[in-house]
Amino acid sequence: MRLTTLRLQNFRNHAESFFEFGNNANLILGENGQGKTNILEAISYLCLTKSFYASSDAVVLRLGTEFFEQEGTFVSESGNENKVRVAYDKQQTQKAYFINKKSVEPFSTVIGKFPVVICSPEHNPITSGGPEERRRFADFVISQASSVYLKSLMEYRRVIKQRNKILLDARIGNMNPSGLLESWDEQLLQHGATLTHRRKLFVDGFKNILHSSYHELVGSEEEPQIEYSPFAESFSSEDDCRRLLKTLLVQNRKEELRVGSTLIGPHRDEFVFTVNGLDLRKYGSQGQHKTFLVGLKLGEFFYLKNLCNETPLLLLDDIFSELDERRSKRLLDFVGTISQTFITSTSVKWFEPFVEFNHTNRKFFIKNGSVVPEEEVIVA
Amino acid sequence: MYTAESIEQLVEEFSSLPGIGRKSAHRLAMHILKLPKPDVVKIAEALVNVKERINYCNICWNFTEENPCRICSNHNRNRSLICVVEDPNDVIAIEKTHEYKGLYHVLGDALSPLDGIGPEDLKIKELLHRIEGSVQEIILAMNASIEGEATTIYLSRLLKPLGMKITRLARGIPVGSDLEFTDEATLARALQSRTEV
Repeated sequence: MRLTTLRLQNFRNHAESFFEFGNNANLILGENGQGKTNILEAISYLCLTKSFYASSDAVVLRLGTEFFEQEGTFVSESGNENKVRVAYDKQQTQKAYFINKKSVEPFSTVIGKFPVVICSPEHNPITSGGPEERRRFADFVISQASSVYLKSLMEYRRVIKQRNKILLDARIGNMNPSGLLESWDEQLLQHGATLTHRRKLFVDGFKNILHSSYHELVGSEEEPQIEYSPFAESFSSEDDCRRLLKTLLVQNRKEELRVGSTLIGPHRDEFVFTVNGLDLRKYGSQGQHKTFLVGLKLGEFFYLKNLCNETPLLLLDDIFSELDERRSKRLLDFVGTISQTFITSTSVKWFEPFVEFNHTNRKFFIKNGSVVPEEEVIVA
Repeated sequence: MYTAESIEQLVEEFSSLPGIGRKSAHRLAMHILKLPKPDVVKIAEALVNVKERINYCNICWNFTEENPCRICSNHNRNRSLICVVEDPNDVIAIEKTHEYKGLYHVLGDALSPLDGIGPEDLKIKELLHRIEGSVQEIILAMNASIEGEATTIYLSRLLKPLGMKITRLARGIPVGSDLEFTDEATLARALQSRTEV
């Protein structure tokens, strides 16, 4: 899939901007705060109906204006053209999403139609942050492939909340909640086993994808690995997993009542990332963290590509500043050939030696929310 | 405040209703103001009447103007069958099918610790009290939510030892719908509980 045109109106600092993108690499260049990332953000609106980091639609509205709009043309591999428009009205605090002038609701039906993989500094916590960041990454990728997983995940989260409330009430009120707890245990076991089993299958398959993506960046000198460590060491099937979870739940009942929350289950899982056998979180350098993150994101890209029968767009926000020249070059050589890629950077110097600019590889210079000719921008 | 105090008060009352925000409340208040007085009295009377005349049935806890309700006092219905539901809307839904001839029991809600709803807040004691007689089967017809599921499990554990047949509604594909448009979670559930033909 390709995004051939993009028009922004009153979006962040863009009053009115228009782009015709190349089929391979699209470099978006400019100094800090000029509006480069905003363009990736607008693409995110078209693909996912929302920003990949803004907390609400109101904050991306250009100051002093009443509405914003993005419009883009997607061309699928089979040549089908889809015009997508997102419009937000400040007065009604309402957003609408259109495909070929037809309003689409609910927004969740859009997910997966225009697949996109985004790698930005917002995602750094996946490798450096707490376990919940890695669970969120895995859940996000698996959910795109399986709505059954997503549904199970949402129900599981609610069961945990309800169950924790019982445990907490019991601790405060000093009472025995066993009859009540058991009413929720059944669902905890059912969804808990489904999630754990599917996460295990996902990691088993994702390992190889990560491996090959990582090697594209660094060659074979570093060995990346992803290990899933759920509550049980090993299990052979979903039923087996459920049995183990049940045993542990019974064993931990006293402790759960003492602390007032659910201690066993996939909401406490960890995914451990290692490079050459060393825990990335403890021993990884900045550059290794970034490389691993890009490896994960490329893994996500190939995983999605296999499932969607449509090549996702790749949005790379400011990722070259932390990679060395060799890794940058390998990444650039690679991404341009696998997908239409959108890259933001403060400097063109990274790219000029490797990228030949023509109608498939394009560069755009952004200054103060507008696209300007190269001469107007002083690029170091 | 730009309006009179009585208007503000009416807006306040309307906006305390479910699904009504301040803007809608204001619109309703303005509408009331424009209506002829007899029409407004009619609305007010209807509000008071519903509160005065409608009670809970002492047997099944459904809404009723008579006590016991028309379903509970109807001797043509199968009195050995009780269908347990969450709220009165569910009774209406099942009655519309004209396929069920047993009695009902309305719990009032489903278990939800987060909302502070425990077993003592549902009409469970009343259910246990009712079934001491000749009841042969209890159908648990809760909503397909995690709260409904927890309520089903809670009740089935409570009722099983009493000896009557405990059943629950089947889950699967809506009648008359295409497989391709059925959501994946429902389809997956229907696959799990497939039946032999």
